[in-house]
Amino acid sequence: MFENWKIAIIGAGVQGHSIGLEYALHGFDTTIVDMTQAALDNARKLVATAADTLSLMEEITQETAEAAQKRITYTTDLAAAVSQANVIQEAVFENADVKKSIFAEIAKSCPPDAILASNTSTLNIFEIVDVPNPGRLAIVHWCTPPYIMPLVEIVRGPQITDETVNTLKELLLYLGKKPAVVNQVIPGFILNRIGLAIFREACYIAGQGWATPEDVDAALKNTYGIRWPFEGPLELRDYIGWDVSLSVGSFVIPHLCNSTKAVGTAVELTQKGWLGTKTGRGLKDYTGVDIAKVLKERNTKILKMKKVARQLNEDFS
Amino acid sequence: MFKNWKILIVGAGTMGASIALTYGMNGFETIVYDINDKQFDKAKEIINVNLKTLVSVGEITEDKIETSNKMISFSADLEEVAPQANLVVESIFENASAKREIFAKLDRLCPSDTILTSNTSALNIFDIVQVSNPERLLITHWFNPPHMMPLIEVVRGPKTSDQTVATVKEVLMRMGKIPAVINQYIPGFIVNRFSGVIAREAGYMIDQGWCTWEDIDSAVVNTFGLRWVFEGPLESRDFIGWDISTINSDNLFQYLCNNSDPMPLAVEMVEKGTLGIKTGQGLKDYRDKDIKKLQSDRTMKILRMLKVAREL
Repeated sequence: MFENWKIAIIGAGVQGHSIGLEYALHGFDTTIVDMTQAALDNARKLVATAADTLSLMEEITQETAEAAQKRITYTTDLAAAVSQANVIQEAVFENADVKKSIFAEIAKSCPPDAILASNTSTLNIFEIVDVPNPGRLAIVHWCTPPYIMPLVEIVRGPQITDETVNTLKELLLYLGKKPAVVNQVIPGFILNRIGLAIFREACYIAGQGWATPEDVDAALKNTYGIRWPFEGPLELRDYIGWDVSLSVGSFVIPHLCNSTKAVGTAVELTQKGWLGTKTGRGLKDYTGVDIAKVLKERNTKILKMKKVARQLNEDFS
Repeated sequence: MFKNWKILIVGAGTMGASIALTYGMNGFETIVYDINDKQFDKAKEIINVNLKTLVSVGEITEDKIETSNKMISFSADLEEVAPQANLVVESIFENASAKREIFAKLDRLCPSDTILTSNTSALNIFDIVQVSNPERLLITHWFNPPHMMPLIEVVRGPKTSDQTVATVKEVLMRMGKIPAVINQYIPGFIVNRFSGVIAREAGYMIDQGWCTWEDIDSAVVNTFGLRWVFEGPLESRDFIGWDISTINSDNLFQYLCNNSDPMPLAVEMVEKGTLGIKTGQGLKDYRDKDIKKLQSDRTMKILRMLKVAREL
């Protein structure tokens, strides 16, 4: 179905280069566009590093890594890049005006039925952007880093066609991703809503002094962390029993944090300026720690976990 | 320090049996008490099935079956066994009067420095029971299955001493458990609060028609599910940036579900009677499935994940 499809990625930044690599790894001719040659050169390096990581972890062969990199073209010429594209993924700066003007430019030169996808995480692209044939406009929100994390959220706008949604789902599945569909623009889509609800309660419990942040993390890592690789929180309730679930939920829900602003640990650490690895200190102290190494190890662990999850599915289905 | 310690498990149900197994496997002389001695055969079966499972995946060696069983005895005579206990784990059913009664007995029969723990998941034991020397009373909340799940929530009461907490943590860690301390009784302790967080937000999103339950589970499994085994949600923010997290919080919290209603989906499932595997239908249909196999597969997956967690 996707034979000879061409992909254009607009924005060669942290997300853009990585999305481009994903497409290229699966055989697509991919063009990455940015405004400066410097940005493109940097993207090329990042792509090489990412491909190397996958190859070292034996996710792909060295040959595949090299072939993928050859499939990617880097250019400042947006019009040329989109003129033949079947899918155009925008991954530029999170600013409404910037996105509005980028899509206007894209629409001038792209095929009238090219799927237009925005990687926005917070903007209602359907209200910001004006394109002909809006049935093909979607939010396609990748997780960080796109070449590793399987989840991609597809958010529907009021005019999107089922065909666009289905095509995107098929395409993402073809890339080995796990698409999740949100039926309208809502703040946080799916992942950030669940993630921030959890974050709010965690900051609250620790902020109240009821448990240390480390123990809150330990509690979650050693219960949900063990199960969630193979069983989601809702399916788990089929095993716990929905009667038990209703009872526990009803008991606890009235006591949960409802703050509409950041609380507890988040406020404390931000006020202190302990912002995390970028300031050398967050919950943990990173003095003398090789951050680049730590970041690399995190990605390696995720790749290991992906293997584990795949194996669990294969061995026990 | 714990060389000649005797552990008394009160309540020979599913949890009690497996908690006893955990202590027994780790070299503690363990007595299982139940008012009803007919429970003991079932408890022994649970213990032996669990031991065999652990051997089958290489968690323990075959000889451990015999040595563990040797450490575990059963008694229906509380007057005889309670005076011997250094540490008690109360694991009877979740009823305030029953717990009040049993702790009154334990208070009378056990030495004054015996550590008294309750495996309650929801009751405020410190309000419910009265014991002399309440500095030795606390909650140790185990997770199912207790011989496998590493986490134990240790909940302090207003009078619980630092010494008691330290001792209990030491015992648990020697058995390879991971204690998380909660400094006072709060509803849900830690883990069940998050169960409520997810129920509330997921329930709201599904009720609003924004997405399917499958896609919520998929989102979680394919992100947190890959990360939480080695990096918790708070520690992750060191990498995301606490400033960014604060901005995101300030922008988004107001849109989350902030009411106290029970989860609409859970209400619906209970009304329909589709409670899950125990009724053959839940979110999924189990009527044509081999439920025993599904359960044993899940156990095997957990065992493998525990190994992975240790290695990561």
